[in-house]
Order: sequence, then structure tokens, then C-alpha cells
Amino acid sequence: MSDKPHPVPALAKALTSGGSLVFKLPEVPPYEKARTIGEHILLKLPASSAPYRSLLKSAMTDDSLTISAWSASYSPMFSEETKFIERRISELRNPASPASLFALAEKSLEERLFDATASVKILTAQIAMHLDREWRNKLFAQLDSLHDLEEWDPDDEPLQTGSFATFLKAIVQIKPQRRPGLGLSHNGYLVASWMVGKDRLTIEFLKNDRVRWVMARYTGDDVERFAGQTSVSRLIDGLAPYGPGYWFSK
Amino acid sequence: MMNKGANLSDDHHVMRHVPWSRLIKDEADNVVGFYSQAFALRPNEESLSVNWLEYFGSDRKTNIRDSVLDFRRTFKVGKKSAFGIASVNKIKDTCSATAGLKVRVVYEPSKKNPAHSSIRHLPREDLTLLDALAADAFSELVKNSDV
Repeated sequence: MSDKPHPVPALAKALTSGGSLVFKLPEVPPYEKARTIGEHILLKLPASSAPYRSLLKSAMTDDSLTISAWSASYSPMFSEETKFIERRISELRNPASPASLFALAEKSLEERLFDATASVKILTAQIAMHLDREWRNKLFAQLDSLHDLEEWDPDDEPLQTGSFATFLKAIVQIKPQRRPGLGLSHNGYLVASWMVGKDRLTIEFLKNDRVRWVMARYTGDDVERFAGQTSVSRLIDGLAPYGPGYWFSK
Repeated sequence: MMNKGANLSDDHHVMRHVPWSRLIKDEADNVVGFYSQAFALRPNEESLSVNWLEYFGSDRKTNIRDSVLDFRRTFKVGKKSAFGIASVNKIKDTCSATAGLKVRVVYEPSKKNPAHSSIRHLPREDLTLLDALAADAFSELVKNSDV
């Protein structure tokens, strides 16, 4: 569709302000990127579209107006290019849109690993007061090591933020004196291990505060294994019959 | 030569590649074992991929070297990754004793990897069994950097 002028349709709320039309539409938080792209649309509109230029300027200077709302109302008036720009505004406005997920899939492996590492480090910073500096530095080094591009299996998923959040909650609750080794499952769940000689406790941190664990205790050639799955808040209780101090205390 | 799909002999051995992220490290980053998750099936896998060591037909040390070279030709093998070695008999015993499962270890060569074999009928979510495979069955660890 061309950008030829159309009559401005009547809206429920319209008023004249300094010779321009201003339309009151539903309130949303201001969004600077949308505003910037709106300015780009202004440049694209031909001079003959004066009523719409005025409408758009008003929209961009009034926080109670939204670009997506007016674009929906006046969609038939804009060219395909203008509609494309408007779609980009919507994509910028909606962080978890399918379009943004598609963009995520297009990221290079290096970018995905970098993003995953950055996300979990930011998450760690939120509970920094619960970790001493030495441990935090060690933890960050372990995370860097797990996401080492040179070692990365391309079929694996980077560490999931939800899994790491569960891990942090567990660490804050358990307060282990012994720091765990860290690993990663192929689907991006963090795995922590505590070893005492040949004995070992492995905890896999799932999303949504869920954990599953398995421990092996050796007596000569005999081995006993115990396993469980629980919420992170019940982890200490779940491990209590098996002496958690054996794994976590120095 | 063994036919595709045939069972490997109980006294033979298989080798599995384990990436760095699924190796247990101590506080000084020394590799001390395999995570259970190193033996978990991916959603698109029906069986666990391994290499048949005796396929290479030489002494044990040479078989291990040739198998590692074979892995390196087949897919990306990180410098810090490692390989687990288990006897077929030990794998079967571990699965039977831990989970009451009867698994098969069969020869399944591919064009790229003529030593490729599979452990069939492994469950997907049995963490106890995976831990037993990681700690007791695949008890020998060979670092890629040592070959």
C-alpha cells in the first residue's frame, strides 16, 4: 500500500492542541527505541501525509500514546516498509516474542556461550553477599571452564539460568565448607559433585527449584547407592539420613 | 569380521568419549572421574555410542591409541576431554545388579567409524544406574592429552 493521505478516522478521545491532532490511547511505559524508530517512520512519510505526521509527532511526545497502538489503528494507511519498521518496534518492545527466540537460535555458538556465562554471573552477583570473594572467583573460573569453546560439544546446551538459580539457592541453604566440582549435563543442567576418597555425592540442579541427587558409599568392594529427587528447600532434609556433613564439612 | 548388530564378546572392551564438561574435577581441576550424566542418552538417542577396542586387532595400548585417533577423525574431541573404558561383561553385570536390566552391547559400524558400537536398552532417567556405570563399569580413564 502506498503512503498516500487518508482521512483520519474518528477516535473516542481526540483534542486539538496547538493546531495538531492528539489521540489518547492506552498507557504503556515509554520505550526509547520505539521512539527512535518512530522518528525514522516520520522521515519516511511523504509531505502529503501531513495529518499522519502530526499524529505521529504527537504520539512520540506524549507518554500516554503507544506506537504499537496507533500503528494498529492506522495500519491500512502505511506502506509495507513502514509496517515492517513497526513490526521491528513490536519485537523490541516484547523481549520474549517468538521473533526474539528465533534470533537467539541464529546466534553463533560463541555468542550463546558468552551470553550464558554472562547471565549466570549476573545472577551470582545478586547473592554475592553469601559467597566469599575467593569462592566467587573460583565459581566464575569454573563457569568459564565449563563454557570453554575449545572443549564444547556442539550438541550440548549451555548452562540454563533456571538450573543455575536452583544451584545458588542450594548453596545458600547448605553453606558447604567444601566447594563442589561442577559439570554440565547435555541439556544444560548444572551438576555438582563432592568426593571423599572414592565415595561421591552428585547433585543435578534442574529448573524450578528441583534437584536430583545420587550418592555412592564404598566399604571395601561393596558399594551402596542412594538417590532422590526433591525441591531445593527439602534437599538438606532429603540428605539428612545419609550424613550431609560427611560431604559438606571440612 | 563381525556382522553388524552382533553382540560383542563379554571379555572385550568398549571406550566412550566424555567431554570436559562431564568430567569430575577436584578443587585443583584434576580430573578424578566421570559424571553420571556422561552416560545419559540424549533425547534423540536410542542407544549409547561407544567404540569397540578389540576391533583394532592389536595389543591393548595400541588399540586404545587407534580408538582415540578414530574418535578424533569422527567428531570434535576437545584437548581436555577424556575416554572411559569398560569391559562388556562389567557393563552387563552393573546394569543387572543395579537395575535388574539386561542390556546388549552390539557392533554397529558406520562409514566414518568402523569400530562404532552401542549399548542398547539403557533407561533414560535412572541416575543410580548411570552413576554405577560412571564409577564402577567405566572404571578406567584415559585423558585425550595423554594419547
